[in-house]
This record gives sequence, C-alpha cells and structure tokens, in this order.
Amino acid sequence: MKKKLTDHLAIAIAVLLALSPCFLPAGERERNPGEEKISQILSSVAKASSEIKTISSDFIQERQTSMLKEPLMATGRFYFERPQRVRWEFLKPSRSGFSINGERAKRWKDDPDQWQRFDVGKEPAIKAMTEQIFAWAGGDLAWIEKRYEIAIRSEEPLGLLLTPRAPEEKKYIRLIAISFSPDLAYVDSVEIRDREGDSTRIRFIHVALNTTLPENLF
Amino acid sequence: MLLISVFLLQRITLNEDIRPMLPDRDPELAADFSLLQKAPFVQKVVINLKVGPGASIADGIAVSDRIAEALTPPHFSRVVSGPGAINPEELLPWLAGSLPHLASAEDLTRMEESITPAGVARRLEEIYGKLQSPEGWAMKSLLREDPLQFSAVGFEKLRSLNFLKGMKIEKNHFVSVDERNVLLIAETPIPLTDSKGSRDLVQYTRNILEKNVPKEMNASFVSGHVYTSANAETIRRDLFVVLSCASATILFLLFLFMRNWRALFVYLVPTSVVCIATAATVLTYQAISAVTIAFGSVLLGISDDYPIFIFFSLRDRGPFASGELLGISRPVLFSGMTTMAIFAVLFFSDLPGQRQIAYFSIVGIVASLSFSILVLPHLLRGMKGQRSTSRSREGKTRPLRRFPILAVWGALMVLSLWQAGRLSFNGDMRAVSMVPASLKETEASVKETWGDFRSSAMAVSEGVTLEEALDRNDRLYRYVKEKVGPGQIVSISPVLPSARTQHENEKRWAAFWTEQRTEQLKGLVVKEGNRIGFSPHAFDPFFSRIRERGDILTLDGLRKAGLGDIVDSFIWRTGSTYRVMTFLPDTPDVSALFQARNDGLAGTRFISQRRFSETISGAMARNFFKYLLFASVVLIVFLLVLFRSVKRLILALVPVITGLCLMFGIMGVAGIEFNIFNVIATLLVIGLGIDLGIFMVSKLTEGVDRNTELAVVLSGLTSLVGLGALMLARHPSLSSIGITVSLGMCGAIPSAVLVVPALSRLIDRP
Repeated sequence: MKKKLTDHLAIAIAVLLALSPCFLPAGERERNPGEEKISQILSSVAKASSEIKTISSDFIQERQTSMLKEPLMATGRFYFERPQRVRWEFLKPSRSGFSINGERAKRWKDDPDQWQRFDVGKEPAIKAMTEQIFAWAGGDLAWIEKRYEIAIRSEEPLGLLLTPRAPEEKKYIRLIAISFSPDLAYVDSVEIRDREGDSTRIRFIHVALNTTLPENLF
Repeated sequence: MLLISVFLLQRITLNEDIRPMLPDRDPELAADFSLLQKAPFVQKVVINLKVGPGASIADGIAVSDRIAEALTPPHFSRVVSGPGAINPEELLPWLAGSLPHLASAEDLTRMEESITPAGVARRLEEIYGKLQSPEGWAMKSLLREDPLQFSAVGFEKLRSLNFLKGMKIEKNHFVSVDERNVLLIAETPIPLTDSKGSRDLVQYTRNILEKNVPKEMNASFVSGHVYTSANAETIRRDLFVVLSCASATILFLLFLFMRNWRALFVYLVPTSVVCIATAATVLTYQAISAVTIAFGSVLLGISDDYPIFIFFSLRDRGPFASGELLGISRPVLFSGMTTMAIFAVLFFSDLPGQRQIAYFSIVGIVASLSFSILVLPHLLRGMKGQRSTSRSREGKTRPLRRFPILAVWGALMVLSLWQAGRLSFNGDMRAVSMVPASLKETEASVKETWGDFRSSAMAVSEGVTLEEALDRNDRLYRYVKEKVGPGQIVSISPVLPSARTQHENEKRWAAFWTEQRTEQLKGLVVKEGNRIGFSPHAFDPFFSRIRERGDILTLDGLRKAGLGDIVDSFIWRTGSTYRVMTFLPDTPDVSALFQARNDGLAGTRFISQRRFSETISGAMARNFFKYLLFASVVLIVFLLVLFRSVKRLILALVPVITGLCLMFGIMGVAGIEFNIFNVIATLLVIGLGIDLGIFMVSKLTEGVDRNTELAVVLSGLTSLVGLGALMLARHPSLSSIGITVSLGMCGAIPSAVLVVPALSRLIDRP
C-alpha cells in the first residue's frame, strides 16, 4: 500500500524532460512570429540531435526544498539509447537507480546487481520521466507541444521555458527550464520548479554521444 | 377433454430453475434466500484468464482488455477489470483526514508504540534518503503530512473491503499473486432465473472468449447463469429421454402381458391422463416446473395400474353386467383414493414444486380412475373372458417354499432396518443441481487462485435509518472480530462506522493527542530532524493535521473518494429498510456464533449457504416424519374401511413396508444421501406399494389366480418402468427420484407377489 502513495502525484513528471536531443516538426496551423521563431529553433535542435543514437553522461542533482536546511546534492550516471532504453543511477550520497528497456523495468538500492523488477505503471514519477525522455527522443513533438507552452529564455546558449498545460500537472509543476549545449546536440541542464517553491536542478557533465553502450546496462 | 388439454398445452410455460424446490411459506427462509441471491458475486460473471508459459502477464492484461471491450449490452452492462474507479488523488487525502473518526483504541495503541526516539529517527532518515530519488521527491508533500506513516492505519482498514484475497493490482488490473491469472468481473442484467437468457449469455460469453483468447492462454468463467443454463439444458434433454422411454416400454409391456389389441385402450388411459394433468397444472399455476413434467413418466407408471386392474378383472370375469362394475371397481377406487391421500400430504409442503407435483398427480389419478371405471369397461366389453382354472389363497406360493420366502424376507427386513440408521439428510440445493464436471473444475481453479469469495456467508444488519444499520454493523464487527479474526472478515465497518462510533473515535483521538503529547512528539521530530538535516518546520503540515478533526464520514464522502462501487456491495436500501452486509467464512464455527442468543446482535441476520442447507435439511427431516405419520394414518384408515380386518390391513401394508425398508437400507449402505426429491420418492413407494397390496389382498379374498398375479406384476413393472426411466435422466433431481423409487419398488413388487400370499396363509392358519 505504501507504493500507492506515489499514485496521486506527478510532481516529477518532467524531471528529465530534455535529457535527450529533441526535434520538433513544424505544425500545419498558422503560427505567430514568436511561435515561428520557436519552431525554427526546435528544428535546429532536431537537426543537431537527429544523428544521436546514444548518450552517456554524469549528472549532478541539486534539490532545494523548505523541508531541508541545506540543498540536497546527489551525483550519478545517465545512459540513453534509442528508442526506449534508459538508465538513471545515483552514485552518491547513496546508491540507487532504475533502468527501463521497453516494457521491462528494474530498480535497485545499494547494489545494482541486486535488482528487482517493477511495474512502471505503478510508479507515476518514473513513468512520467521516461515518457518524457522517449517522447523527445522519438520526436513526438505534437505530444510535447500539447503538454507544454514553450518560450525562449535565451538564444545563445539556447534556453527554453516550458509551462505545463494540463491542470493535473500544473498542480505540481510551475516551470521547467532547459538549457542546451552550444551545438544543440544535447541538454546541458534542466531545472524544475514546483508549486511549493521547491526546485530540482540537474546538470549533465562529461557527456559522450554515440558510444556503444554495454547491453547489461539496461 | 383431451382436446381441451391439448389446446391448453400450447400455452405451456416451462420453468426449469430450482426455485420451485425452495421454501416459500416460511417468510424467514424466503427472506434469507432472497438475500443470498444478492451476494456480490451471485449475479455476476467471473472470468479467469490463465496465462500460459508462452505469454507474460502484460499479454494477459492486454487480452483481458480486449475481452472486456467485447462484452457489451444487452448481455453485459459493465465489466470491471480493476479498481479503476478509485482515484488515489481523492482517496489518500480523504483517508489521512479521516483518521480521527476511524482510528480505534487498538490503532491509537499502535501509534503510541511507534512514537519512540529510535523509531522517529529511523523514519526521518528513510525520508531523507527518499528525497534523492524521483519517486521520493514526488511523495514529498505526503511525507511532510504523514512522516510517521499513520495513514497506514487507514490503509489497513481498506483491506477489510477486499473480497479477493489472492489478488494484487498490476497496471490497474486484478492479477493473481503468482502473476499467471487476470480476473474480470462482468455485470449482467439477465436474471439468474431466466433460463433462456442464461443460455444466450453463456453462449455469447463462450463466443467472445473463443474469439479473443490466444492459444497460449486459457479463459474460463463461473456464474450462476452457467448453472441455470446447464440445468435447463439437461432437464430438456431428460424430459425427452424419460418420457419417450417410459411411454414406449409401458406400451411394450402392456402388449406383452395382455396379448390383446385392446391393450391399446389401457395404454390410452395413462397417456391421456398425463396430458390432462399437465393442462390442469398449467391452467392453475400458469407455469409448470420441468421437474413436474418429468414426473409425467411416474404418473404414466402409476395411472396405468387402475386400467390394468380393470382389464384383468374383466378378462377374468368375462362378459359383465353394468351393475357388476361397482364390485370390480371397489379396490381400484380405494387404491386410487389412498394414493391420492398420500400425495395430498405434499400440499402441506413448504416447497411450491412439491405442492405442484401433488396437484399434478392427484389430477392425473382422478382422471385415470374416471377413465378406468367409466370409459374403459365399455371399450373392453367385447373382450373374451379367460378365467383362470386354478385358484389358491397363496397364488404361486407352494407350502414348501413359503417358509424360505418368509425367512429371506425377514432377514432382508432386519438388515435393511439396521442399515437405514446410517441414512443422512442433505438439504443442500447444490446436491440436486446439475453441475457439469468442467464447471466444477473451473470453480475449484477460481477458488484456488482468488479465494472462496463466491460462497461467503453474510451477516445482514438492518435498520430503518442508515445510522441504525451501521450501528448494528459496528456491533457485529466488534463481536465477530474477536472470534473470527479481522483478516477473515469483509466489512465496511472499519471504513464507514456509524456516527456514534465515529464520535467515540473522535473523542478518543482528542484524548490521545493532548497538547502535551503533541508538543513532546514535535520536540522529538524537530530534534531528530535537525540532526539529519531537516528544517524545523519541515513537518508542520503533520502537526496541523493531527489537530484537525474534519467532518464526520458519510456515504457520499466515500463515493466522492472513489469507493462508490465498493460501498454499493455492502449497503443496500430496500424500501424503508437499510441493509449493511458483512461477509464471513461459511464455516460451522462462524455459523455457531450466530446460533446462540445474543442481544448485542439484535437486528442482524446471518445467512449462509451452509446454514440455509442446514435449515432446509432440518425442515425436510421434520416434514418428512410428519408426512410419514400422516400417510400411515391415512393408509390405516383407508385400509380398515376397505378390508374391515386388521390381518388384511397388515397384509396390504407388506409391500409398502418392504419397499421403504429396502429403499432406506440400500441408501444407507450405498451412502446415498436423502434429499428433498427423495421425500417425493418415499411417498411414491408408499402410493405404489399400497396399490399392489390392495390388489393382492383383494384378490386373495377371492382366491389368487393367474390374472391377479399378472395384474400385480404388470402394474408393478409399469410403475417400475415409469420410475426407472427417471434413472436415465442426467439431472440429479430426476435420477435421484428414479434410483430411490426403483429401489423401493424392487422390494414392493416381489413382496406383493410372494410374501403377501405366504404371510396370508400363515396368518389365516387355524
């Protein structure tokens, strides 16, 4: 029953919203100049990332919440392989993580070899996170645009601001800020601010693109 | 008359279900039965999808979704595959906020035990660790509101609503713990008593499953409709087999023994009688039970006794004057009246089906007597007499054989009486219902996988207001929880107690969470939290919630929290009466809890299939001995009036007594339980046996000849054929009558032909 506690929350719906390269196909409706600009930028992102098959990187996660006296810092490794493989692993201060390989999902605490299968459908936070990754990686622009209003924060380096459209998501997430690498090939950092004023910032470092990833990672 | 009957038969409505064999005069029992029908799964079709080794549970879930989509109106109104209606976003805050009204004294004790410095520190460290992960971060609001997991108390209470013990939720579907089965619960508007509708429903469901279930999976379903359909199909097939076999064999026997084309007239009597009796029953009752129709074969066998006796009397006598008919008819009339009187006993039965059989049989016997005495002699008028040359008071029994016969008979009687003591009553309607082997297997498999949720006992708390019913339900829950254990009880009381209980809980909560205790706990949480890294106000929402009392829980509140479907399985309103159900294991121990008088359980009714069967068994046993007594009195009075001799009375009773003793004795030896249909069988043995006794004793006074023996043997054989045909039936109720009465007749016929003359000689010896 304890797991059910997670069922009603989607606060981490876009934790790794822009962890993967993305591309946004142009819509058919008439766009205003702002939208036109966004469309051009997204096309550039899509073009830059279309050659990317795998990503591996370290990440630094910084969480700020009124619950804690100090920000909660964590570091770990992230791996992605098209179309539906992802591994998210915390290394410090404690080891834990999960990996998704299509329909199969496993997670672990402390020792990655002592993993357990789990139902992604029962973990809305992980489900939302992986859905986002796969949607962006799969180029499901319609899905992204349907869920978020997109605005440009900066052009060089490129930064986007995403605001949820769905009331359920709005209840938890106020804003998502994404920054891209100078060549637009990958996401440099992502910051999620929730309604309670808490935030999570994730920075990706030591990014390697299109390397061969070991099969047993997923 | 026959033409009118045939016309009436056009409007026949056949009733194939078991209702006619359920008591309708005892309002308590009728109410119990009505409530039993409302048990949550009785009217639903439960589909179990078993996933084979070549497929995953995810595949099974996908297939179950396809099946659910395909099960549509008018056959199905709704299909439930999981707790979809429950919205955790509504339910969880509701549950957490409801604790002041729900937490019992034991719950507060458990909370108190968890509030220790070590316990609090461990829990806060867990929370800190969780905040690192996405799922932990997603839970942070809840963690702030309930760091010590007090809401687990509420979750525990939700368990009390769970019918399916072997279930877990996977992708919002009911899945077995071993992840090899998926469950669908389909609601249908088709009543269980609608045999045609049930047949269509079963066929429709089979087609849907065949179409949607791949080879690596196996789908089966259980429902009362499957029983209804199986029973109706079996009875229809039985009617054809039984009536055809009985008619053809009786015709053959008549020709074999009579060797006269006029045997056809004799045959016309019972066949006409069955038509007339059926038409009269349809006219009186509107619908006729299939069991009654099947009883037509028995009526064939009984009602041909009178024309057979008339036939042989007239053949014995040769040409006769009209005035002589009275003398010939006297034993026939008495025999018929005695049989009618015995059947009349069934009018006192609580079972409408037995009363209908009584009416059907009595109308048939009256018609048979009328035809035999008023019509048949005129049709046989031209028949040549074949008077037997040898007449003796012993018939074929020679003096040398008399003693061995009586010795064997006596030994058999003693043995039978001894074994009859082992006979047991079984009032379980399932014992006389048609349950195909495949259905038994499915039932067992579903029970093993999901628990025995389809045959729970129910305790119904009633009240003129919902509050009264809930209050009684609370008392019941407290009572049974002590005796049965909470894990065995499915009750709404822990989640929706009465307002009175809620006020008591609230007072207790307030007394527990004193200012001092709250401040002490807050101090502890802040201290431990500070050490781990939490800010001093991290868990303020928790302490605010403890102080909140909230509103009292209501039915509407539960509905808004998404528990509407579940609540409707527990609470019904019929007219001005509210009923709250509690489901318990149907065991003798639980049943015994409700047998002792308990004022605390006033307004609560306990209903279970086991208890229902026990009640029927008890009523059946009482009625049975009442019937036996009444039938014995009737027999003695009639026989005394007929024979005016105690000796002849005893002789005439020999076939009855022998038949009954042998029947009960063999049932005792073979372990055949006595069911409600055997009550009818017993009366049949009495009725048929006394016919043979009366014929035999009547003729003994004149001297037994070959015609008398032929009449007795033939009427006994035709009765045996009529009843024996029932043994060909697949339906347990019909075959049960056939087997038991045949056993009885196997004793009655030889005793009439052999023992009665032998005893007659012994009794009359100077």
